[in-house]
Amino acid sequence: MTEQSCGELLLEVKNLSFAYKAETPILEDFNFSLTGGEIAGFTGASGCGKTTLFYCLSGIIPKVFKGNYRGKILLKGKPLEELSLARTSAYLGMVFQNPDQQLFSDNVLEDIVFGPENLCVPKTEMEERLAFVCDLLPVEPLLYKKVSSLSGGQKQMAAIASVLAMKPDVLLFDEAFSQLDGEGRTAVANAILRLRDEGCGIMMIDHSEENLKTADRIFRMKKGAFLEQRIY
Amino acid sequence: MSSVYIEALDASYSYGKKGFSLVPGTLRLERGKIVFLKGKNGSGKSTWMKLLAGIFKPSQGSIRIDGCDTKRMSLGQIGEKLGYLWQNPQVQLFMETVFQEMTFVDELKGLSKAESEKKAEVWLECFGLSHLKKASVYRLSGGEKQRLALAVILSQGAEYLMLDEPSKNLDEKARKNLVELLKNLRNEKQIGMLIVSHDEAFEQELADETILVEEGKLIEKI
Amino acid sequence: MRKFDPRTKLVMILAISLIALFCNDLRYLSAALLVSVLLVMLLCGADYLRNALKKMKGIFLLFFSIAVIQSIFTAGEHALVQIGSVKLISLEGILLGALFLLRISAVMIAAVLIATEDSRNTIQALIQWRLPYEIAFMCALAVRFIPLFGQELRSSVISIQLRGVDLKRVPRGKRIHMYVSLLMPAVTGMIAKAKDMAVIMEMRGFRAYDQRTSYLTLKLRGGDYAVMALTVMGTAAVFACYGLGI
Repeated sequence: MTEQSCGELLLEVKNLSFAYKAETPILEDFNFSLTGGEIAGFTGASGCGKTTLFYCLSGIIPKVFKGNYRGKILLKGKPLEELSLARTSAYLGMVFQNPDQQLFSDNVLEDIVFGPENLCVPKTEMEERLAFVCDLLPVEPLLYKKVSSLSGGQKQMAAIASVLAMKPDVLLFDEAFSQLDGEGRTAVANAILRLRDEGCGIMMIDHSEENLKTADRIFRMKKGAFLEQRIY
Repeated sequence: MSSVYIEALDASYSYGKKGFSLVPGTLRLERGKIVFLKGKNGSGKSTWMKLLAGIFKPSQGSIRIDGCDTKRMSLGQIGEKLGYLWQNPQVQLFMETVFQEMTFVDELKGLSKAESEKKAEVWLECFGLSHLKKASVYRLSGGEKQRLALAVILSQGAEYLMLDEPSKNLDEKARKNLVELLKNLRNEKQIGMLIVSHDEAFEQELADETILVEEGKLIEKI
Repeated sequence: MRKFDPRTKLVMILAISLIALFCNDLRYLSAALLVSVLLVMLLCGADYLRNALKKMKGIFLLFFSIAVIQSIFTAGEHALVQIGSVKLISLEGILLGALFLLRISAVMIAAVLIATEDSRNTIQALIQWRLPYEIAFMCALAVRFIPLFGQELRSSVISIQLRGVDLKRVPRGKRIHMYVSLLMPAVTGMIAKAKDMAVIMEMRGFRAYDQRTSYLTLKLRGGDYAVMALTVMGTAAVFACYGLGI
């Protein structure tokens, strides 16, 4: 996360449309902007395009998944198409639905430092980030545990910690609460609020609006269209 | 016919010398009752479920399913009696397309192609997946995979269901549909269920009993 | 037993592999196999070796079959089993089969030394040896994916059984058809998983830059230097003797 103040325009989406091959568009003419210190929530029926939207915002579409893609996305003023996925990670982090996909080291500590290592963060700063993440989330007891021995909820917590350690300006959470217990949900919700106060722009997908109650705006999606936007 | 379908008698399981262990416990699960297992992440809920389902053989004590000791049962014999939904639906989905996933095992069991296809159509319709018949299983959304895994499990006609986080990734409509389906199975077919879930609303709508799990121990019935 | 640096273990594995590859002598290969077994027992324990051999049972059976086939189809002067003028099994053939089996066994058992190491330590060892980090990670992940394929197939078979299929009651023909039908989806699933892992790694900044920092740094100690020096000198001595025809 670079030095930024609340209110800075972090993400700008202009006329975004996407369809897989020759199918019906999943996203159609979507316009959106996200500023620092803001939380935007996305909800809607299964298959309506929420995760597809996040894939577009992170650059996975169209770099990995191809299709009919139109529109423009600016990440901190830079066109997303000009950044590789790896370079995008310095500014944008995404927590995916399935924690099993996101952990690939032998233990949790190695997974948490993997991102900062790739971004050439010096070791002293890595120690600070590790402390930062352990302060935000209850992952300290898990640091030296083998990933294969963790429960589903513990894996999800470790996956979230791994993304937060990269200190991105924009955070995308795709169903981040699905396997967490009550304490875990509270910890992640508090972490999200703290990151928002530090100027992070946050977007969250969840089926349950209960988990989106911290959002400043909630978008209800249906088949690529946005039915309503509630502002809090 | 006894109302007790699954019985754990001073049973326990351990993941090796240095791994997590369950504290020996006794439990009786009845037909026609929905029991929820609750507890913190890492408390041993899924491990207890796998032990009670016979997937893990007890390192101490015994587990009986419909009167049979699980140590003497093969996975296939267990599968004939129980339906098991894994926490990660991808683990139990292995065919290329949605339709193949529904029909493959039925054809192995001896059902004709026509019968297995008809059965598949009915269950895909029930879970709102008919339009995804030819879709690749791997590329389904999280919620679609969860619904497919549920369709596969419930279509088996098992006598008892073990469901690990069944409402995870489901939208409001799919959740309501699942609640109705499970209630019908309990009320009309006396099918018992053991469910692990963090979804409190889901628990309130379905649970006849709730058991707390803490550090591998079955604490109490709430 | 003292924990050695992964680089020390890699040097030992390399030494045994070189001897196994270039020495075509029963005595040298038998010695290489014996040294492999002793090293694994000393550094990992007899129980670990026993479990590793159990897991490798299938693959050793395959190699044994190859050795037997090699013995049968190798022409040689000293026939042990002959049908008419056709020399079915010759002494030279048996020797060739034995050499193959000893060679592959020595390398496979030596490789167990690095299996006990955390994969991140092994990657760091390769990086500190100046191997480009992308290649080091690629090697470690490729090794990890090999057992994952077997696991995929096993998970599928478990899932099938848990849907009420008692494999003992499925006729053999249908069972073979079942396994064959599972192969393609398992391969597709593995490829999709590998692709997803590559995306996630990139989204954590992998290959953002030519270099990367490391939280972990490996340091060689006196014992590591001593063992590596002994290994190098010992290997040189073995090749010298072999070269001199001893």
